[in-house]
Amino acid sequence: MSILTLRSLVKSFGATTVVKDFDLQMQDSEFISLLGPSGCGKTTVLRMVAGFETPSTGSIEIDGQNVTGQRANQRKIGMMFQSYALFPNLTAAGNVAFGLKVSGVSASEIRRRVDEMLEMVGLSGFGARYPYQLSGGQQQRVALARAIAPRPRVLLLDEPLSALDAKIRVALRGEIRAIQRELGITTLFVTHDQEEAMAMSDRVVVMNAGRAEQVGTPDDIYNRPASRFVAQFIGALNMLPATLRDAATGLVDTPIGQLLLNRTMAQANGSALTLAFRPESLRLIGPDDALATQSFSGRLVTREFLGPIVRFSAEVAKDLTLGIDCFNRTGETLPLIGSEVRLAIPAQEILVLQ
Amino acid sequence: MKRRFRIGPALITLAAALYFFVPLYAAFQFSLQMKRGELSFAAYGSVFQDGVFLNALTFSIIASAAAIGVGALLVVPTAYWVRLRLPKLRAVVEFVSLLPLIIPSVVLVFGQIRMFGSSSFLPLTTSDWGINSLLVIGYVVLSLPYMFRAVDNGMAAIDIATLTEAAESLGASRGRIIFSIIFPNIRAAVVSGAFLTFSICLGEFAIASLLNRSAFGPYMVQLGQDRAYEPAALAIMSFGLTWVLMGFMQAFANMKPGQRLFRLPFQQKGPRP
Repeated sequence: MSILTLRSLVKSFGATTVVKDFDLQMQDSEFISLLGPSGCGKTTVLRMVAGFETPSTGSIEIDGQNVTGQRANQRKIGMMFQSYALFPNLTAAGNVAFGLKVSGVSASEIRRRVDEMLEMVGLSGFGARYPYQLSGGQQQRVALARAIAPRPRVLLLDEPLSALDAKIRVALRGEIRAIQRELGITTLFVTHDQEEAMAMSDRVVVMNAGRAEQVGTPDDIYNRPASRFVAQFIGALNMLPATLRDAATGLVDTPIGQLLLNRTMAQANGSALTLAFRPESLRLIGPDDALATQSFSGRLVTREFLGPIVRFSAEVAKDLTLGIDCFNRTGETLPLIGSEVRLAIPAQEILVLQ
Repeated sequence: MKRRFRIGPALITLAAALYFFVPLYAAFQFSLQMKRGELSFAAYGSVFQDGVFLNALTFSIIASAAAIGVGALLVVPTAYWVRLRLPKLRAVVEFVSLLPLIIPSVVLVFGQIRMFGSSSFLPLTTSDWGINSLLVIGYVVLSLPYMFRAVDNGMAAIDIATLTEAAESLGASRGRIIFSIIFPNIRAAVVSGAFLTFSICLGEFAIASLLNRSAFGPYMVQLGQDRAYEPAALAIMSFGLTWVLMGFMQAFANMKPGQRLFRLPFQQKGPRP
């Protein structure tokens, strides 16, 4: 059942339209991320759902009820903010209890729920501390407990991990996801961090210039991008100009030689195409490798050691360098900068961009 | 690193300190000379034994407290709303709040008397409570520049927009947000404004005198005309009171939530992250 439905949302500030014809349906217990570059309108969508901005046109339904004209304090939503937004005058327990007090829950029930929530976020025994006595990670945990304590219909997360350091960010995103699954809260998450969106979400909405470019599972978004923008925005991407030679087999001419895409192309022979593939799709191969039939040579010009992977760039033609990601496996010797290497791309991993 | 002693600034500081403290010391010494040939606190004793002094002081304290309450109730929601929803109007509101510094209080009180005199639609000057109300309103206006500035600075120090949104997302109404979240978080600023209001109202002469109220300001002026040593004693006491209030202001401004102004030996300090 759809818990949150956004229909044709438009938001303009003066002459600038920041959200254009935005539609989304969220199912019960679903975790969806709005992902996009700064200024793409993702936070504005979230703020419209929260009730902090009024849509110029379009409607917002929560649990089948049209809440477009409803004030924020009547929507029964929970929200986490980038800056934690804990009430500095209240203790951690006081912060968690705030929403419950507002809803008129009895004192004994408030005590029980506050203890339960603080335990859930791993902060039992921290109830008497004030926000300034807690670290950033602990404050954001309290903010999570505060947001979910009144059992909201929808949980909204506005880049809640951005202000935390890398290690805590990874730990906390796992905790948020686990708690969200445990409680089954429908959650809308705004982030500009692709890794976060991919790791946490059931579905991802990639936004660009106020529009939803693609809505899909992380796997879909990464492996089957629907547009050039999504392909370029998500992960790293190599681009190769090409001319279609044979539409029936997908034979193309490129600056690195002919490549066979092994698919029937809709375009006419002679059409200009852009081929795209991920750095991890490029393989460093030996002469006996099965992919050797469709290979080309290059010279390694940079090498970055990133821990689990080593990222190379190889000059494969004049003014054309491609990125290559190789796993850093113990005992395996990877080539050095300046080495001449053979490279290959499996045909099925090549995307054709219009 | 050892800091170099600089003679120029030290001399300026010393000169300023002498300019301030020498007259103060002279007034203090004079206030001790009421009894011929010996130094005593007789002038202070005389002030405290005067029933009019206590009545005037009590009246002014109550009027100041009322002005603080009304002022805070007027300024906090106004400053909050202007910062949250009408940021473009902030310059206008700030200008209006500064007007009492330019317009003499005599003008204000004559305006009040004309506006609310016996022949007006709201003849406040015909009853005691009405005149007292006019006095409190006058005090609120006089203290507006200090109260507004203190509260506005307090609001600048916290992210009121996000705190408001956080409280709204939890179902809180605007009134609840102002009283449960905004007020407590700008408490130090309100207290600073309150102390400034208190010191201004306590010594205020023009409004109290023209409204014919037996307040502390007119009492001090009258005493200055009638006696020699008691006014000096009063001046020293006023200075002492102002300094104590400034001390409290400083202490409140530096206080964190959950901290007490005075900590008893058995009370533990709060934990740190």
